Amino acid sequence: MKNRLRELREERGLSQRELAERVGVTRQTINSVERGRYDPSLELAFELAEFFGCHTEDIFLYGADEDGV
Amino acid sequence: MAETNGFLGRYSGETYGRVLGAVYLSAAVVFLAGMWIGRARIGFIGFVALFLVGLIADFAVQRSSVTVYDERDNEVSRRASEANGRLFGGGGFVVFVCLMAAEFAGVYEMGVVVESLFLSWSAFVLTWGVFYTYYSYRL
Repeated sequence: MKNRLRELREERGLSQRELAERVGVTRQTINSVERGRYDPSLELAFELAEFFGCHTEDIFLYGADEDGV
Repeated sequence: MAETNGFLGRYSGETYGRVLGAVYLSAAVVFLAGMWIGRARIGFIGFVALFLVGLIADFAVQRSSVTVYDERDNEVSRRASEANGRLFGGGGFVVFVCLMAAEFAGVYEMGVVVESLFLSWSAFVLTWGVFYTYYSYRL
């Protein structure tokens, strides 16, 4: 599943480690989610949405293929 | 817990994860090395000591605010268990069916060791079945 996590994180000037600490996961988890290798749990998705002040669908693009369609 | 966090907060969870992994791995290496050099007792004592150090450190880190294990680790563990189960479950099935077929054909006779391995494998598969049944009712 494609996502905008890296974009949102970089907009706020946060490192992967800082974001990981804020939402209570490891840096590797944030890295894996950003690279599309790991789809987070609903709980983490909501945690991230709450942190960025948006909806989960603003971060995770359900149905988007590799080209972002 | 605040004091613990102050002490442990100096390094990231990633670092602690690597250190803990190294401690557990070194425990296994000491155990095997002990057997290899004919000092199994010393190897075993070293294994238990290092494993306990790892467990205590693991417990202390998990009690702090440092995140060492999270949902991705759970997923990694789940996939590793699945792969391990498939390897030994599926691989064992092929091996033991072939051996039994060979035994029934009269070209092979299972020795005590192979028979013990077969029984252990059967117990492994049956235990999986018990857990599967349990969780199928729980979820």
